[in-house]
Amino acid sequence: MMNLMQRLASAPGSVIVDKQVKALKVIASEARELAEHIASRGRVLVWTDSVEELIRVITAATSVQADVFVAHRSISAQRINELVSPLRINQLFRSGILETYDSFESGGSGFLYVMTSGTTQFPKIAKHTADTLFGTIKQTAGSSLARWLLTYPPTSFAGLQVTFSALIGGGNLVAPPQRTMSSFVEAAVTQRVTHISGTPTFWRSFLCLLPQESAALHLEQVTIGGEAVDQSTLDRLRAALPCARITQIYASTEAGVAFSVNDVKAGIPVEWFDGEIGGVQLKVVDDVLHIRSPRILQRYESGEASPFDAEGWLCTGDLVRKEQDRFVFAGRADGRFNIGGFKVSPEEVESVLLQCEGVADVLVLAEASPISGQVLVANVVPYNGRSVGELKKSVQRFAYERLEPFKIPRIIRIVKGIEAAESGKKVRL
Amino acid sequence: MIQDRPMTNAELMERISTFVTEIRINKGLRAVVVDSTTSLLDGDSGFDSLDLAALVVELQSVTEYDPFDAGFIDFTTAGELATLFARDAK
Repeated sequence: MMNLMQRLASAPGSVIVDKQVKALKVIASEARELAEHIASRGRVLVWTDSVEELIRVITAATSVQADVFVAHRSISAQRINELVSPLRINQLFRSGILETYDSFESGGSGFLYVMTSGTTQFPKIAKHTADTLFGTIKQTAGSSLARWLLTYPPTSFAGLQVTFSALIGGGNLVAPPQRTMSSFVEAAVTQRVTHISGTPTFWRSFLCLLPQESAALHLEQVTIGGEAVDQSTLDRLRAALPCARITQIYASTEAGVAFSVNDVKAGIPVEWFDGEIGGVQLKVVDDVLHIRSPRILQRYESGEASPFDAEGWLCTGDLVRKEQDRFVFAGRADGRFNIGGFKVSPEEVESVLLQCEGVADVLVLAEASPISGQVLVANVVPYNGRSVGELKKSVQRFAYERLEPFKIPRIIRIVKGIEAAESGKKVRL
Repeated sequence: MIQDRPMTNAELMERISTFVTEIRINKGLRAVVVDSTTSLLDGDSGFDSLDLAALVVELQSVTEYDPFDAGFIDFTTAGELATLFARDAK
């Protein structure tokens, strides 16, 4: 199994939190001290939003073959206490302090447990290892020491991926003081960030703040994933950041890092469904992507049924649609609306409306209607300086020209912004 | 655009007329005069059921009032729909 302690102690990078630089060697030596207090083969739960503490605890615990549960800081203290007994936690790391309980038998084996974002219910807990989580990380390419910006919550699967990709890969990690778009842009400029990974919603918002700042950016790598990636967002990234490499990544708490696409075309090449790609097999069942991979979770620790079928395929819940030589993503299978008897994917409609000039971002939702059950509504964010009335009309015309009647949002509202969750994804209710 | 007083029948008719006209233009149909006798349900207006649903949601949103709260109330013409939402007539 991957030895995080060894990898980090020999890595040249630093963690930069709110402009305070801390060398990885120092964090590794603190982790070594902490490891002396962690019960070998115990089970530790870490509850913090400090990325530096997370690195320290994960590294320390895995070095003594203890299991680590990474809990979101947004979970209540009461709920954390309630998790201790069913998860057989021996030690709890919170507020910078390691608390030890003696009442539970140990039984850890160096597993890493990661929570889903849990937007609608309590997060699921996915069982991984350092290998399934970080096994694909390579030395980061580039002329100088890479500087990665952490846009995701540090405790999320994506946040852990970015953190350890930066550090194991030999680079630095930059965490801004607040997780707001203006802090991200400011950190990207002042900290000379070279690598950013974010959701399509993050990038569309980031690009809106760019025109005056893009000359000051040093971006070499743009990574986009976590939501369906559409062609117009990729085109905008290409145009705004002509020198950066643009990578679509397909990864989730359940699937681990599955694959990435580097040709700046939306979707997955169809030929990838014939063999395997980096040890990952893909198939489509009822328009939903299924994957089989050595890096998917081992099981849920939170009691949910196994997400695998008998042959070990994971149903991702992501809809795909064949378009020429690609399978393009068309939203979440459980996120479709019933409009006049037809299933409509909001992400698919959004990908069309994003092609309309003047649209910075768009959220498609359904509202209850006494006439037809549900009616489709599009909340449209204009680029700065657009006339609201004109944009509404042009979006409407665009929708009527390009979409089937039941997919046309019959109500267009011009809004200032679209709410994104902690995970960087659009909030869909 | 939400007003601090209930909308009158005439204001609602204007709203409905604008909505119908926009839909017709988007569908490549020529604009027509919408009056209180214009039928919204038989297809003459160029409306389908989803357009009508959208119009009702729009009226609910601008008036902050839902005449269908207690169940569906039958209507056919633009005038009848305006009356359902107008508070000055009640």
